[in-house]
Amino acid sequence: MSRRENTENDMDAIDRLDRVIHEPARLKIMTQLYVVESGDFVYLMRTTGLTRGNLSSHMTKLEEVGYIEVIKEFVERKPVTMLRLTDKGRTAFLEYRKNMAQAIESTD
Amino acid sequence: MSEADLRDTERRTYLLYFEDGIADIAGGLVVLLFGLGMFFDSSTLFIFNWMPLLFFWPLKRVITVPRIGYVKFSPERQRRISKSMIILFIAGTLSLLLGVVAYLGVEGAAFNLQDFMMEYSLLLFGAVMAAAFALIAILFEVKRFYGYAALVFSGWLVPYLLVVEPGLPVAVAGGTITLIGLALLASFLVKYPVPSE
Repeated sequence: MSRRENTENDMDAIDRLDRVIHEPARLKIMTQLYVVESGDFVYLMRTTGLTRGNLSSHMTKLEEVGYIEVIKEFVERKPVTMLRLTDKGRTAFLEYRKNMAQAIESTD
Repeated sequence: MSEADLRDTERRTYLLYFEDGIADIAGGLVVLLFGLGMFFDSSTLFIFNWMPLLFFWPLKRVITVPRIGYVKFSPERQRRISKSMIILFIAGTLSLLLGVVAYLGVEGAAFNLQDFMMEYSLLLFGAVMAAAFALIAILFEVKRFYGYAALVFSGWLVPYLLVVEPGLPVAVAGGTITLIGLALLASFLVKYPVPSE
């Protein structure tokens, strides 16, 4: 493969990056939810360092594209709102990582 | 972001729940009461020395969860936690049995506790207690508990090396662990205030 073809493929990898996930705050949220099964709002605030309002707006965006879902659960008879990645969200996150790795590799 | 980075993120999230020092306080108090029980030769302190463990989950619910939230870990981590709890339960039951045997000794049925303690059996107790802390370190991946295991064992070893009342070094070890736990708890409360609504 020629150098020019290589560069084109690298550019493709950058183009394929999911812009919804690429935003730093949303990337933090996706990462934190990827490593657990589910977590509540406070957990995400603590681990991402985002404020309540900021987190809420990014959560809405991720929910709109179907990457996360909100589940109501009862923990020790108390209602807890839990958030988790959907299958679509997990796949999108894995795809994002793959494309990002390719894009970084191309700059080495 | 490699697999190792993600594993590290998961591990840091998990360890966040041990930053509160509650496990240290509960474990430290158990050792402290045990040491004081030996020092004063008090069967009451022996009977109640495991009671601080009862406050572990209620304190977690009241202090830790409101501050760092509720999380369900990955199925793999949940399996590991369940397995760890079972192993700890078995180890705890065995230790309790050992305690009962020793307690019966207080009444002079089989042997006198004080005499029993003065013999090399002290090291057996020390090993069991230190093993419990080491188990926590291994199973729950909280490395400072290795240090506690060494500290507790040394508390049981000291009477063989120095002229000192048995029980006192154990109580000092337990007190030290409790103080470390309290310091961790204070730092946790400052670092993670309850988020406003």
